[in-house]
Amino acid sequence: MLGEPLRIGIVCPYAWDVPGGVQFHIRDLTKALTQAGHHVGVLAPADSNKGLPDYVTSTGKPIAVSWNGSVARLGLRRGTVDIIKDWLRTGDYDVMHVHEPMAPGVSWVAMYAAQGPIVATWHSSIERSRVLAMTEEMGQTIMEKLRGRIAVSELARRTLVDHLGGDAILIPNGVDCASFTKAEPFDGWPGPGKSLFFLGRSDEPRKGLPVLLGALPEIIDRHPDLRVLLAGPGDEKAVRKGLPKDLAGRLTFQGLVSEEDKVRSFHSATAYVAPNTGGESFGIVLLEAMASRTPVIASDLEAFTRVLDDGRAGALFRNEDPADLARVANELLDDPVRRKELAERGEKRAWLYDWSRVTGEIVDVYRSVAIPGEKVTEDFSGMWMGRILRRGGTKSRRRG
Amino acid sequence: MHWYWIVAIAIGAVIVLLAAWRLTFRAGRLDRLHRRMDAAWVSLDQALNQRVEIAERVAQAELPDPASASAIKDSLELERTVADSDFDTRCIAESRVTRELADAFADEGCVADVNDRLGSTGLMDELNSVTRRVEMTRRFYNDAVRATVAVREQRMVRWFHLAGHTPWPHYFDMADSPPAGFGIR
Repeated sequence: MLGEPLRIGIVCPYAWDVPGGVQFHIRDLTKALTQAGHHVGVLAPADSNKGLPDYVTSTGKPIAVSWNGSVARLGLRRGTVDIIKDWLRTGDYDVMHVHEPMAPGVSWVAMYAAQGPIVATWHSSIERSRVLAMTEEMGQTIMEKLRGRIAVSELARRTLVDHLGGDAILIPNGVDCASFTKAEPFDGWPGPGKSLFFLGRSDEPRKGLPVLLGALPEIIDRHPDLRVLLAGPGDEKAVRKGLPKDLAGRLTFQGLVSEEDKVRSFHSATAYVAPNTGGESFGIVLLEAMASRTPVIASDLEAFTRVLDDGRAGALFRNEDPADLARVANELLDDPVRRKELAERGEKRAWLYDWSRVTGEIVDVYRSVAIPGEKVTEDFSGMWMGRILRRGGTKSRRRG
Repeated sequence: MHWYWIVAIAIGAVIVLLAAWRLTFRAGRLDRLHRRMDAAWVSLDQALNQRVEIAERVAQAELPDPASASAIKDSLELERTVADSDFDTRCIAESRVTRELADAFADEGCVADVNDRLGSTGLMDELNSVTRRVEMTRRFYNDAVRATVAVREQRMVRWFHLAGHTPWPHYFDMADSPPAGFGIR
């Protein structure tokens, strides 16, 4: 959409200096929005101000809270309201974009303390019992301020519809395609004997490593020098145990890899294999492989089938069927023309999910709720709770 | 005065204060919901008007199929005549605009055709964006109506007339899917 550049205030409930999906999402979105000419300020808790990008304002050191099955570190403390109000005043934002609004912490307080054009993005699914507070009047009042709601996946959308009713706009995560285009393969890879790449926890059956291992003997029959590159956490010994020696010798484990080594791994493989058996709501890794021009072989989960354009942008095999995986993999490894074709179509398709495009849709949401002349301002009816959180605020700000 | 009278009056005062606090809280919540609904309506109305304006330019831009161009023009004519009349009539007229646009740009070929003729993707990009924005703003508006209605139906709100004389909210029911020719999303 053409129009004036916007001033956007983004709120992240999780500690900025701890890696996580929501943080990466906000970082990439901010990058793309800035490139498109918009002004972005991010509010997030952080352990220290050292190394924070210019656009991040810290709400101070986060406090550990048990949340949604893991320990979340949230930046809620005395003085938070003051910091948020300062941030709103100096930011002069046209839109405030809150992430994971149901996670207790900075997101809540920001929604509480602000009024005007506010939108929120739901990232994960949350069990109903954990958001009981949302059914209370206070919680509902906060959620009712949202003028627009976005979900990154069908699962996340269902969470918010179940809890709050109404609907949301589905806008999936973006892929930073450009960062996958170029990389140096590892020395000697993929090699004349060709190679496959698997990414995911080896001890999590839903990631499907057992399916791949089950298919390998048949693939090796046809491609005797094939090697397999693996990345992801999990116990290497446990995987090797119980495998025939000839098979185990072809596996190269990398453990948890850096972003850079992940890209190099894609470029080191003849094909990327995603044998996941379920639980995938989107398939972002497939798109990363496609952006690397690495042909994809994936199980025919609904999400994967959609990403691979019904098999036009990647090869599909029957879910949980090692024999079918072996058949599909052998065909692809035999056929350089088809590999080139899939790489090309895959790359083209991955760009449809590039951040630049996804960002355009998010900006459409901003423009749908922003009204020219209206800014995000302090909500004075929030003074009552604000006063409690404000006590001793200035001191804690100096500490932070 | 007996001591129990003092206690009774004190308890009574606390109850009245609590009730008043609850009422003002609820009234504030309702007021906020009404303002959100008004803002959502401004956005929807604006998106619909922009769609008319852009569709007008599309219809004049020599579409490959002259019949769809005149169908779009007809629907815009109707939209303009009823824009200021009641809600339901306008819903019907806007739905017709949606349908004619969907017919004219049913597949990617039609969009590409117009881009070729015009030598730029500018107009089609604008149409793509505005049709998506109509869909979003309508969803956001109806969400705001739903939330407002839920509160207005509460007994406390009805008994104490917390909504004052604000008219009862109406859903905006129209076909709003963007034309299929604009691709996967």
